[in-house]
Order: sequence, then C-alpha cells, then structure tokens
Amino acid sequence: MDNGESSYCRFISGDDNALGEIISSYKDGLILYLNSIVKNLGTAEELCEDTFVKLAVKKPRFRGNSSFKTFLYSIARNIAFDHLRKSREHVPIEDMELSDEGIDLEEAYIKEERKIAVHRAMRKISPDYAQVLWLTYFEELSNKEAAAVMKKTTHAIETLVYRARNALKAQLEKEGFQYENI
Amino acid sequence: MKTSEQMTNDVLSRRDKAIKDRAAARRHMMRIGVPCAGCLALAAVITVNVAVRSNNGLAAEGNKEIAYITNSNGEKVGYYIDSDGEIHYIHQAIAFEKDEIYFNDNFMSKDIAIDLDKSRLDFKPMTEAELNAYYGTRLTLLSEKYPDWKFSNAPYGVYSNNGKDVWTENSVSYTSPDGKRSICIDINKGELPLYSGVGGDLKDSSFVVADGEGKAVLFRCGDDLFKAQFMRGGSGMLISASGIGEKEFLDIVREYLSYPDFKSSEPGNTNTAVIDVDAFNVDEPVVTDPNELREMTMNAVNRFFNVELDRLTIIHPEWTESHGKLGIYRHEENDGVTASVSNYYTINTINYVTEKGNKISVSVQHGKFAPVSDETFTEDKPVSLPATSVITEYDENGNIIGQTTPGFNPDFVIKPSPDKNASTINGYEALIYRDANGNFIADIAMRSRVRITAEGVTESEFLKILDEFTL
Repeated sequence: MDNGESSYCRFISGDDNALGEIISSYKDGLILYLNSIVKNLGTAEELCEDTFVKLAVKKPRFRGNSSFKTFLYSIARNIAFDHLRKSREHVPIEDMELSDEGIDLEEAYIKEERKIAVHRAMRKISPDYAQVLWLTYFEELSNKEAAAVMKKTTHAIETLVYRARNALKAQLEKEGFQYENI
Repeated sequence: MKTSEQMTNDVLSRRDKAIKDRAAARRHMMRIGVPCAGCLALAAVITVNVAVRSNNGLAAEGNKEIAYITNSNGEKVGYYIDSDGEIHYIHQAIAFEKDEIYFNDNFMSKDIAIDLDKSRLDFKPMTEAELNAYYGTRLTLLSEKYPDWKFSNAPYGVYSNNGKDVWTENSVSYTSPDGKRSICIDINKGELPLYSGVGGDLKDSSFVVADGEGKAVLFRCGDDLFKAQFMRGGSGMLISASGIGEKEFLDIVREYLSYPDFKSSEPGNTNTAVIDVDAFNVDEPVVTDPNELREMTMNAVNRFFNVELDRLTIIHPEWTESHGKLGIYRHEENDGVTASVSNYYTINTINYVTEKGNKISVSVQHGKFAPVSDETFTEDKPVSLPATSVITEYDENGNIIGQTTPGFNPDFVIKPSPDKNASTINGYEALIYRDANGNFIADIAMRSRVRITAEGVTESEFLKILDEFTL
C-alpha cells in the first residue's frame, strides 16, 4: 500500500487530515499534468482542486488494481476532458507560455534543469504527446499505468510515446538543445 | 497559486457545502435508505435523546393524537395513530425501540427520538424460538457461522395496538471482533422492511440474483456496502453487510434464501446473474418501455462503450460537432422485490463538419467485431440475428476490399487475416471500404464496434482521422 492509498483509506474512514496529506503529495504534479491537457495553468489549478473535491465528496472506490497515483490521475483526466468538452477551448500552441508562478511551480517540482528544458519544449508539442510524456517521463508511470490513465491500450501508448519522443526531439533540435537519453 | 493548506481548506469547505446541499435535496424524499435501520437507531440513542426530549410533546390536532417535535427546519416530525390503530408518519421514522420511536431529521444523520406513547402501544417481547416461528425463518442463522462475532442483544418482539400488530419489524446484527465487518438483518412480517432499497450512494453497478422461487434484489452501494432484499416464507428480509466482500455476502444471501429446505429449480445451479450497469435506479418500482432511450451524457457513453467516442472533438475543436440524444435502449423491470435489466444494441453517433466542409461521422455500437453492413447499424432494438452469410466485395481491379454480412450475428466472429481484407490501425483490426460515391467507411474492432465514415476527404486524410481516433 503506497502512501497515497494509505492516506485515502484513512480519509474514507473519516480522517480529514489525510486529505491534506494527499493534496500536499500530489497537488503540484497534478497541476502540471492537467496543464499539459488544458494548456492554462490557472485552469489546471482549478481542475486540480475539482479533482480533490470529487475525491472528497464522491469518495470513489479505490480497488487497488492500480497505483493510487494512476487512480488519481485518471479522475483528473476525466475532469479535464469534461472541461474541454464544455468549453471547447482551443488555445494556439504559441500562446502556451507559463506565467511566473507557473515557472516557480515547474522549477520546484521538476528540480533538474535538463528536465525543466524538456518540459518547456513539451509545451510546443501536441497535448496528447505532452500528456503521455508527462506520465511516463516525469511521473515515471509504466506504459501500462499510463494506458490506464489515458484509457488506451498499452500498444497505443507505446506508439504514442515513440511519436511523442520524435516530436519532442524535433522541437528540442529546433531550440538548439541536446536530446540524447530522453 | 494556492498552497497545499489553502487548497485542503477549500476542498473541505466545498465538500461540506456539497454534503449540506445533498441533504437539503433529499430531505423530502418519501422513502430514504439507511445502511441499517436498527444499527443506526442504536447508535443514535444516547446522543439524541437528551436534546430532543425537552422539545417533544403530545398534542391534539383534529381528532388525531399526535406525538411530534419540531425539527431544526421548523418542520413537525412524528407520528399519529388513527382510530384503527395504524401508525401514520409525519416524517420518516427510522426505527422503533422499546420505549422510543426514532425519526430521521434529514438524510445525513440528524436522528431524533421521541417517547413512544406506551398507553397506546403494547410491546410483546419474543424469544428467539418465537421469532423464528413468527417469521417462518431462522433469524439467527449466522450465529453458527460467526460464533465469535458480537451479536446484538436488543429486546425482540412486536408492537400492537388493541390486539393488532402494528409494528412487526425486528433487526439482528453481527459485528466482527475488530469492529470492521458487520452484517445486519432486518425482517418484517408480510412485507419488506420499511427501509428496504438502496441506502447510501448506489455505486455504478448493481446486480440481481434470481434463484428459482427465491428472488432477491441486490445492491452494491457505499464503500464496500452490500444489501439484499427479498420475500421468503411470508416475511420480508433486508440483509446489509459491510466489510465482508461480495462473495461472502452472496453466500449469506443464499443461506437465507435457501432456509429451511429451499431447493433450486436446477440442482447445483444457483442461477446467479451479475449484470454490470452504469446506473440502475432501483429505489422506485419501475418498468420502462423497451423502446425508451435511457439518455446518457457523453462521459457515460464513453464509459459504457469503453471507447472515447468524442475523441475527435478534443483533437479537432475547430470542427463543428453535432449529435442527437445519446444513450442506450434498455428495458428495466423492478417491482421492488425482483429486478432485471436488458440492454439492447444501440448506436451512438457524433457528426462533424470539418473546416473544409467535409462530413465525418463516428458511431459506436456494442457487440463483437465482425464485418458489417449498413443493416447491422440499425435503429431497431434488439438487432435481429439473420442466418449468416458473407459477401465479399471487390474493387474494379478484382482485388478484395472487404467483406460484409447481411446482419450481425454476435456469435459469429469473422477474423479476416490482416494482409488480405482487414487493416490494422494502431493495433485494432479494421475493415476499410469505399462506397459507390467514393466516401470512406471504416469498421474498427475497438472495445466496442466503431464505424467512422467520411465524405469528401482524401484517402490519406481519412487514414489520419483513423489514426487520431485510435491512438
């Protein structure tokens, strides 16, 4: 049982402090993941809060057949796609620069300079590519776990990762970066 | 940007508000479900009596004797007894104890108790043997199965007025030594216990067990909470269990259903049918028209068919999207004791117009994959099952471009070899056609059957759409 799962069990049993632990552990990563989908940090933060509200109100059953992170990210992804359906927003890729506080969050969460450069290049590739790279590269989910979050087959994730890496490679080259070992 | 503490506080505030709103919305429901009426009443006995007793009272309203209190919303809650000795409730009563009657102030938990008018009702205590004889079953059947579990030791019996039994419900409960597992059995004479039905949050799935003459409606609700209600031997039973898991719960239900000498119509076959449905409202008796569309949101459609039907909406927000009502045709029957649900093959379609004015449509339908013709994507429910024959189609050069069947037979699966008739798109088998007008059609074997059609696009554009949809 990972920490998130243990905290969620305690929250289900009535311990509100456990929800604070979950939020503290997953908030920043979740905001950056949601940002890869909606391409707007403010919206990503709101959707992140909506995700935790859903967890707190509906208390969806965690069956334990995936990691708690996979479970949480699946809920977040559904909420983000709901938002996209309702808003039908289409943000041009060139408008996706992070605000100052977004940069602070990015640097605090990702830490490594090389990875931060990669993350910034991810803003210029398609949302699907950015999503799958965030899950597999930054959150270190397996292809199977990423498939569960993105509701795709493992095979589709493998293909998506392959294409996403190529797109990222091209983007990094364009910006004059080294891309080996990504 | 919020700190973790700020977000936690905001989330908890929104949670509390949502709970309050939900309680308000449900306050006036005629019937409410509680996890276990008897257990809840026992839990409430100390905390609520003192506060409420100072408010309660007896009053005459017309020719009815009423015991009531005023709750926090200014509403009167209580009961009156008419000249025939029948009890009528002004608000929801959740349980009787020997000296008290418990009412539920609102859905969440504000339970209140008022003294029972002992001069009007007589309590007839019963021994275990008397209870079993009265209800025609063995109420304490689980005592042998769980010898070390704590057994409720409440006084059992029935309330009567002028010799007529007016409250015939009793509850027994078993709690595991660690307190994490519990089973509660409510029983009533001649009818189901008052608060049978769904209690707590009904989960996305529910299931029905039908076992010869004994039929039970089963609910999976709340977190690890199971309930079953059924009539047996002239008595209605409600079994609620938490923490024991589905298999153990079903075993208990079967034990009660089969006591004392019940035999399944097919020896060795319990006929347990588990039907997964996304939402199955069994709170109210309902018989729906088979041709009535059960509308669904896009999200629900995606979950039901296990396919992201609106994937192209997300990828191409610049396209104009339209669709009719979404959902599935299904037939539900539920008379409060037995329930069943049948789903029919139903197509859901989204239409798009691209920025170039090309028309794309994406349809999804349940069923195994087989090459299909237009006839199989029919609005008729259910899909007819004609004799299967395969029609092979050729292009002008004599090359096989696909196969169709005049109708879809879910038992007959054609697996075309990928290098001949079917393509593989991102790991999914697909048959791609061109109709007489040059429009493209693709039938794809995803988790449900998907058909994508396109007018006015080139082959490479169509393949790109298929790629986008399936990736």
